[in-house]
Amino acid sequence: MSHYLLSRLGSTLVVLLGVTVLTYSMLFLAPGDPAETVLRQQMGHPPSEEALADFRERHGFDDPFPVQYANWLADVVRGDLGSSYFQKQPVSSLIAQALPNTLTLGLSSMAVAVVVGLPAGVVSAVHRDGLLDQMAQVVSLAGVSMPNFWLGYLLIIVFSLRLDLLPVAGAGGLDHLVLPALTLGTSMTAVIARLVRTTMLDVLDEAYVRTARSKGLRERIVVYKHALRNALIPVITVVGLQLGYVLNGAVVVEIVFQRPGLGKLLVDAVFARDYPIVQGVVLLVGVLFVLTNLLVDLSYRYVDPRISRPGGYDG
Amino acid sequence: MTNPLLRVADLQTRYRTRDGVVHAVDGISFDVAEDEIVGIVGESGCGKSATALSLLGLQDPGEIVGGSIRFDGTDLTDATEREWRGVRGDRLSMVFQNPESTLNPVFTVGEQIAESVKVHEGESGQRLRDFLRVPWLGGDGWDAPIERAVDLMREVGIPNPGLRADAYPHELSGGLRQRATLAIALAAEPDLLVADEPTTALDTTTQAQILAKLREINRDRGTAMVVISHDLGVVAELCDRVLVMYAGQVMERGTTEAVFTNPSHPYTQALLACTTRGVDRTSDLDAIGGEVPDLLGGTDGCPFAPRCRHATDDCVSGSVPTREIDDGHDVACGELDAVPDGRSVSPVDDSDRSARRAVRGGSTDD
Amino acid sequence: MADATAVGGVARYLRERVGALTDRRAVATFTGRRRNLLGLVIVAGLGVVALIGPLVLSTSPTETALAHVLHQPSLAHPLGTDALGRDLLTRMVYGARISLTIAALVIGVRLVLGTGVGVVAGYAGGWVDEAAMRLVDVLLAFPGIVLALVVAGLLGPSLTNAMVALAVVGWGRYARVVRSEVISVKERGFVRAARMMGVSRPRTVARHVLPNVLGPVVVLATLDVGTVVLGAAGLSFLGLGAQPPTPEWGTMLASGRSHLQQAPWLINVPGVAIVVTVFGFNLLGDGLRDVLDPRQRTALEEVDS
Repeated sequence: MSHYLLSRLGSTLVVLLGVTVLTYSMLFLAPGDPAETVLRQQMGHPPSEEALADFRERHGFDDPFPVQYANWLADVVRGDLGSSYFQKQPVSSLIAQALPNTLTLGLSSMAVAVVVGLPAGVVSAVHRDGLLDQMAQVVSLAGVSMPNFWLGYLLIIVFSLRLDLLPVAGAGGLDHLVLPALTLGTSMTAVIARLVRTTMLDVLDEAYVRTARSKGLRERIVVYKHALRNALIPVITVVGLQLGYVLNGAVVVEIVFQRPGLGKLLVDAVFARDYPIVQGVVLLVGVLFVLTNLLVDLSYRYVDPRISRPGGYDG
Repeated sequence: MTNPLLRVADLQTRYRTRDGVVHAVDGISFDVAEDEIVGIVGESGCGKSATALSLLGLQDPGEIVGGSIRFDGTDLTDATEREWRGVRGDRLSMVFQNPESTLNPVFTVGEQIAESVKVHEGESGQRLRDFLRVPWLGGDGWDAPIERAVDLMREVGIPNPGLRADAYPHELSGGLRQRATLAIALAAEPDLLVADEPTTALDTTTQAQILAKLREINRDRGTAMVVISHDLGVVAELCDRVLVMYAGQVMERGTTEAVFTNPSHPYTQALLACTTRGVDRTSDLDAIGGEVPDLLGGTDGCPFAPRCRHATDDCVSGSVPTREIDDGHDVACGELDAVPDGRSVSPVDDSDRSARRAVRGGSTDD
Repeated sequence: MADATAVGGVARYLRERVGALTDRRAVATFTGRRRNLLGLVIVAGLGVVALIGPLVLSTSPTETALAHVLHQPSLAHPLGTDALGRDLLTRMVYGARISLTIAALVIGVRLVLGTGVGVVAGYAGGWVDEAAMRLVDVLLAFPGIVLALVVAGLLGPSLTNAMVALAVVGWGRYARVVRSEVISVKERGFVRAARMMGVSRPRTVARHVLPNVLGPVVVLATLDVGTVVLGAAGLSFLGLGAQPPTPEWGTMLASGRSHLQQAPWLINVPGVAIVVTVFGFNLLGDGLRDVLDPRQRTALEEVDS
């Protein structure tokens, strides 16, 4: 157990280090001299030699790559992500402003997904190949195939423009959260429903489900206690991983609904070539994702007694 | 045997597969009296397990398409799911093969046995929340059932039951797991226990212990049993009467003694010959030439005919007569006169005891 | 010489696979579900539209006609016209060609990269394997679209760059699948025997390993079409992919959003097209997985084992 834990933590650290290298070196993908690109945008005209030299000096562009990376990493570890080129604010505080909006969006859409997708998947599996199942499968596959940006506008057209029930865009109270959460939640719901169905079907074929039936238990208890508890183990993993992927969808959803979250921050920064923000957000996303993975892995061990309590009385 | 506990008549169970309809159980009939142990023996794929599952209405995704299962006078084949539940795990319970997978890996052994106890307590309309052992969902009321589970575990010979009740299945050895499944089946104090290959996955010593335990239960509680096995040794050891099954049909039936000392069906003779030759037990039946038919679309004539040395043209079509060659000893064979006399081919002599010893010795000698 | 054998091996495998697909049972399994057929029809239909559609149409996807701005769907313009008076149907047809081309190119690159890394890692083992798989871990540590949009954005917004970004970001999964398959095949008797008989590594890989890997990779690639189409449209929607006036579905949807009230068809038509395309490939991929998945169990095996 502790050996596993150590090696798991070790490989997590390696991946985290890789994430920082990738995050930093990505900037060198941009064509041309970053100093010139940025200054030209800032000043609106080609920068002078002195301005260029000064900018390079200030942002450490003159050092060789490993030194630049090491300096950056040292700052990052201390929690200093640098300052935005254009907004004159530390990146960390920009992220701190944006993060809650994205987290709210992510968690509420995940809630939608679990509340709808879990029962849908169970019902689908229990009525395998029945009409309900067939319909659920087609609907969930369509849900997976739906681009968030279109669904978002569809919901805006119906609920905001036609019915005038909910605000079109922006951030604010709960009413601003409903449509984005539904948009992002739809595809997640579909993913979870499909996964729950598959794992439930596997589990319902297991011998222990038959044992449970042979005890004279009601089918309800067989399904919701014996089968579901086992099916949940892989589902927890995926829900956890999905949390990491929330940002995938959040980018587009935040653009559609003009929500000031991480996704919008990132996209705006990419267009503005505000590199410190891009680096900061990408790093955060990577680190969050890796840590979620670790957490999911560990909770998996808690949920599955075969892993949390290996061996035993009889060896 | 005027009023048997279980009377199976012309039972037919079918499975729809991608390749066609499989007639897994093809019209078998038998009785089980109170206190009696009846064995069903045959090769893998002959429909033994399908028969066992049908007895508990667990043949899903298969379907019982004909015949009846009268348990204590009630026909279970047209029972509703609700009526089934009243019987299953209460008066009729089952021990499955392969304790590796019959216990739920995420619940403790104690909880799984206690669940059976709770069902048996007959709380009408089992409520889901009562069966979820989660503190804040009102899942209390588990203390007494767990205590009873510990008693049951002690009864089936699990040492240290108090400690092991909190163990998860993977923390127990195969033998202990099989004892735990036995405890689950016994929780309800059933009238009839169906045991499907109860000892197959176990080593020889454990096997003997489990068999002894089954016999003890039969003796002490008078629990009737149907024991399914491909192992003639198990059947000889345990059963009062035997059915020899092939391709979903009964080939021969009689008291254990009669069938083992006077095996009259060519198939039974071949089975016994293989066993006593001391071939590796798991594959002994494969030593008969040819393969078990796939049971697709049912069979015409004698299903064993393609593999039978004595088969004639008459055997491959039409119906096969069943002849009673002795009191309660039936043989389904159309060419009985051509088949050598059972007593001459039987590897065992007339005495019941030595018959059992001979068969067991032959089969466990690995 | 080695190449010829490799091609021979793959060809033989393909024949066997096609043989397996023409096997009555496999076909029956596939066609037994109406869903699979629907997927096949959608994908085939899209292919036809993308291939010959632009040849049949006489209208141009980019020619503006300010006299016909924002016309509702009508006989002359079955899907209506956009804010510059361009016929939406024409643009959709050209868009199908663009989307499928993007998918084919991106997945082609992903396949080559992923298979290459997977084979090398699985076959070499040791630190090579370790390094390659950690790289894959790092790549997969980022939600795909986020990484792709940053790469595309830094390279500069264009369709080519978006495709490069999608390809570079998405080969990790192929590498994982191929690697694990290679490792399991490597240990099998016939591969060891070939090695011991002195057959060179590349030849062993080509003859024995690659053919075995094909099944899962085909399924993965089919399902990946949906992801790539969504990803490419998403990048274009954000303005990081195809640029106007290219008739790319995501780009069209993005420019349609300024007319949500008056001309909802401008976003709904490309939206539906994307859904149908992704849906079709997902159906097809699911169906193929059922046929190519060897873990199919029949009810009978459950009963008497």
